Amino acid sequence: MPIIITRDDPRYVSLQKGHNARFPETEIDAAKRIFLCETSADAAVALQQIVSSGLRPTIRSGGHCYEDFVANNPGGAILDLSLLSGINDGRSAPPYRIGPGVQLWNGYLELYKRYGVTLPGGTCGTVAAGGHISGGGYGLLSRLHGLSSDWLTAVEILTVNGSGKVVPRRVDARHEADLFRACRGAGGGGLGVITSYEFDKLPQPPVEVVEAYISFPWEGMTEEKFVSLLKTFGEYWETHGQDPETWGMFAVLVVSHQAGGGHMGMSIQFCNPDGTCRDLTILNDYLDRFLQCGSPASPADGTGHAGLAARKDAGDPLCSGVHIVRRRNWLDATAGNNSSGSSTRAKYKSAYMKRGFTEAEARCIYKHMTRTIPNVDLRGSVIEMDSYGGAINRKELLETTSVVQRASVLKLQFMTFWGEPQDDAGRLQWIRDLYKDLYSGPDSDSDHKETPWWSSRHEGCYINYPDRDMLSYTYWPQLYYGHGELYPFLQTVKRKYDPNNIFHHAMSIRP
Amino acid sequence: MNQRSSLNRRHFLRIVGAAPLALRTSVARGLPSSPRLAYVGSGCGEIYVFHIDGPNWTLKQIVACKAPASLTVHPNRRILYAVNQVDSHQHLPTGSVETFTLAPDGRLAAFSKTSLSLSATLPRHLALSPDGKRAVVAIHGGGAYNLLALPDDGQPARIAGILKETGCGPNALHQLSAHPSMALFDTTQRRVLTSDTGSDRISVFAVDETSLTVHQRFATDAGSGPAHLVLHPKGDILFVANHLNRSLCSYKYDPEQGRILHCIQRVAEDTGGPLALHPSGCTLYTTGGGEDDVIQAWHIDRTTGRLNRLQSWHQHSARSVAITAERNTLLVVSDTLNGVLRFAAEPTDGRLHTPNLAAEVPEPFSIAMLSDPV
Repeated sequence: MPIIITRDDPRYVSLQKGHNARFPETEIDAAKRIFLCETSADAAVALQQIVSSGLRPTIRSGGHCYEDFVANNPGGAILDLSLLSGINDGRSAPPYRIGPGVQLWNGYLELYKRYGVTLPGGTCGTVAAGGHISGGGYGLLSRLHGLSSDWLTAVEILTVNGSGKVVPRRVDARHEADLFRACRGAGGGGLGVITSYEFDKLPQPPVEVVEAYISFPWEGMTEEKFVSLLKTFGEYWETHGQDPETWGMFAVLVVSHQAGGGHMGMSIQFCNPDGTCRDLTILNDYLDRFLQCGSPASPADGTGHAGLAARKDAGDPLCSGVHIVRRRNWLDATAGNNSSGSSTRAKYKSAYMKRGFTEAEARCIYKHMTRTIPNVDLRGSVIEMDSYGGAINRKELLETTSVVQRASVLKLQFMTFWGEPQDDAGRLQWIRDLYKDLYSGPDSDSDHKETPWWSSRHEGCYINYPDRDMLSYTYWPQLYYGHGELYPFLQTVKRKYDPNNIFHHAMSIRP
Repeated sequence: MNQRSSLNRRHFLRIVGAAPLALRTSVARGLPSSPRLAYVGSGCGEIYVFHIDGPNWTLKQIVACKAPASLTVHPNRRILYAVNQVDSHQHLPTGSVETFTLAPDGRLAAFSKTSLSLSATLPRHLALSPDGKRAVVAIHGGGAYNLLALPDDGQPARIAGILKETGCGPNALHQLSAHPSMALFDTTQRRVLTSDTGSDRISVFAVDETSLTVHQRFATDAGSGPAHLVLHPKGDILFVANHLNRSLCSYKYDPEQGRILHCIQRVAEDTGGPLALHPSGCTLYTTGGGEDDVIQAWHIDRTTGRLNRLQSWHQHSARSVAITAERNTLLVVSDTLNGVLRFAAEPTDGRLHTPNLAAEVPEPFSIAMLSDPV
């Protein structure tokens, strides 16, 4: 039976909120109770009880939802799947069965130790499989192996039929394939409760990887240097990054606001397509391109990107041309890359890029990353620029998944983190101004200004980095799901499997 | 006994032109004065405010209001609530309730707008508790009810509770999910009666400060689509108009226990549209027919609760979308006539007289009256 946490339970205060400390916004917005489920049967019982009581369920696995989709549920119930954290639960593999509550790092560890495979997932170790996979899911190995959801072959899901009865389903490419496709990237919490993810196959991780880090100090940084850095970064992934020989290389350029002082940085994880590091030619060529922008690669001092940084104290130092890099076995590298940061107030935005940065875009970013706003502390404001593409961009996946961005070479994540509610307005103003300005430039679509609307340069936004601000644009669904057949398809699925719209949040599929 | 008329809009306008004669007729009969003000919601995004003097309606004001599907005057006579039947508000999938303050002359001033709960799309009706402290909104599109707290300190209404519904019926076009249509406080104020067109269900909900909880579910005929409700002033007979199978049912209701006991009678003839009760409790007014253009008056037998038809008016091409009854008047809002039909009613038994078109309003779909204080 599910464990039910009510307001009078000492655990309630901790469990009624997620990772983003902005939510629930007020006490009134909070859920009335939390159902902790340890099995899929628990989840079915809990869901039936919630629905029959006329409450709204919101679904949580790891609690990392960027927006208010889970924690803002006035008087409702959070159905918490974090304890469904088993992998295969004693059953043989393959198929690999991953519970929605499996935190990514635990998943990597267990899959690797038991089966020698991995999920090409993200770097935030406490993000759980539930939200990660259902929204697409990408990470350091995605250029080499695709998205997490690309490997999915079945899910077990609880839906609620027209009369309010909970219906357990197992869906795959042959059985209720429409619902299965929607579970492959359309986002979590909007169709039902996924209690298990199944994979007939999963990729083997690299045997070893090489990590590199380049620092770009703000001191001495000029606008021209900054533009050169971004253009160098973007042009590589737009051109050379398409070559399958580069797909084992992942880089994230972390552009932090000047207010934070110090430096920006770029972290790289590299392996050859065969999972070895025998030939570092591609890595060296890549690193050399940035000599004009910063210094040679050298181990990080620990102040760079939390999720991915070649640390001084990790792995074996290796001279690679003029660069000092670190060779590590993959598991150690992955362990080092899977920190999760503390719960703070935060706001996020995203954009897919099919090409590198234009000069105007780079200058706009420089303007906002050096901007000051009176009485607003902008430390902790960053844009993470991830290399993308490679195996993700296999066009045949367009028809069988719900991830429609299959031509991008970069993915941007705009983030700002702060501590106190009184700073909300200033922080939100900064990130909104940056985003609107960036996508109102000379290359923006006149009918879709302020957004990375689909064009020769952009492919909209990522649903796992949801941004409620996008709701102010009537075409917000197309930003996330494209302007083709996908969103109408998802609406059909929604009406069919959730006719009463039990599972809803601000950006769920509109029936 | 039955009177059949077939009046078109042009004919009604002629009648309006003859209003002074009608007024003299009314006065000659010695009927009490009519309600003082009428508020008519228009699908054009406006509320029309009329001053009423017998059969004469004078337009006083037009105020903007997004989609006022339901209008309700607070018992303190200082506030009007308008339910906006929209599927998006402030970029979220929900409807809203708009509040207007009433000046002494009845004019409206926009006061506040309350966003309903997430997914509360296309709200259709608001029921106000007799003490004016709470309201329940029936949310047709989103399949839910919102309980609103109405602070008496001048603050805007706020959502105090949410009840999410499920349910479906055999009509594949209209009953794939729950579609609450109406809510009604019973005489105890502790419970609310509701109709759900999508799930063939009328329900009794217990109401407290922060929640609506299911007290009783009562299944109606499959495919009936219960929509419109009125409760007899004594509180013991519930009349339900079924929108989908175009019928009317009366039910015995126990207000003390909060239970619908049994069906008293089913009437299938030209019903299924909006309902109203004459304040005497003697007469029920129904609308219905294939084009919702038949208006009927029914005598209510207080002993048995059964209905006997008194009158029937076939107002050709005058589709009724809302009706309301006062002691000496029945008002029928017709969207095809783009106006409000006014029937004079006998104050004692509610018997109707020939109607006139009292007011012209484009795409009208709701009405509320502000009568002279009793």
